[in-house]
Amino acid sequence: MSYFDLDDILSDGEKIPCRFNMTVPGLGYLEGNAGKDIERNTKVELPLWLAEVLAICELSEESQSSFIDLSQPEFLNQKVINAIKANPLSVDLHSILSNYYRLSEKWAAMFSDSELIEIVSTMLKERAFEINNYACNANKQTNSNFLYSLDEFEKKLYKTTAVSNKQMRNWLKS
Amino acid sequence: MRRANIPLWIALILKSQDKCNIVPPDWLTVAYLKSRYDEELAQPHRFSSLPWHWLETSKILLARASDDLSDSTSQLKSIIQDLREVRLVKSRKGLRELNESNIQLDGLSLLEINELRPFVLSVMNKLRQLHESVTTTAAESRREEGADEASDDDDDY
Repeated sequence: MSYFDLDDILSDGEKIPCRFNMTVPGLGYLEGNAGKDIERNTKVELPLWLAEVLAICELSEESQSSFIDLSQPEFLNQKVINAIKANPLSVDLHSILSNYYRLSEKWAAMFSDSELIEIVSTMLKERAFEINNYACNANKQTNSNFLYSLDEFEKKLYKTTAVSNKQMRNWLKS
Repeated sequence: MRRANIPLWIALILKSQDKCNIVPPDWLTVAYLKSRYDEELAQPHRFSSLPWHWLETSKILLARASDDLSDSTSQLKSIIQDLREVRLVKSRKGLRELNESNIQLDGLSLLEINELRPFVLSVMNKLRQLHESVTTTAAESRREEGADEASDDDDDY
């Protein structure tokens, strides 16, 4: 992942629900009342790049708590995880989160959540197999819902696979 | 008439000028390829061993030197097609076993590996990234703990 990777930047901008652990003067515009303070225990959605830093920085040297606490984002709630476990192929990743793999990667790195990685890897394997199937049958017009449910990484994967299969067929025919 | 081993590209030039005949390789016969095909069917989990460039060489020879081959072109073409398809199905099946660290490609020829390459590389790369996101942070924290202990030891002296 490089500095100029657009998908990386986009996934950094994904909003994460957070709770403030202290009252911050003048930050009220975050929840829509400009000029006011943001109260302790307010829930706000912050982009990941900001939330990550604030969640790690400690308030002061004595206290253990940080500026904000991260809550579980929507894309990781039990409902989504259960749907993934039940049938990875029928989950509409794109509408849940268009950079699902990247974000789960970042999330897991922050919390060392190997269980999440386990689930996501299994899903990737299942879905990649299916993507390969679709990419091999590029001749037929496929208007399956599955192709619309791909996340950004999977779209790229589908494209490269389909292109390489096409080139292979052309070479064999020539 | 003399036999000589020369590179394929020279042979093709000489052949096009009617200055030589190409002796087809041993494996480019219907009988041999048929036996390989049966072997593929008999061993559902392994690839039979074929030359590293079997698809490319056979394609070139069939196109440019078909009159030198011992068997008929159409028969050869169809058995090569069958062989390719049965191997393709097997390698597709093998893709279910992808993981982040290694892939077994025993018996596959160059072209067959290259055919899989774009797909396999991206998936394995992603799996590796996913796994590293957890393992490296764990490794780092372990290293830090180790460093802390080491500095504690220093304090004792």
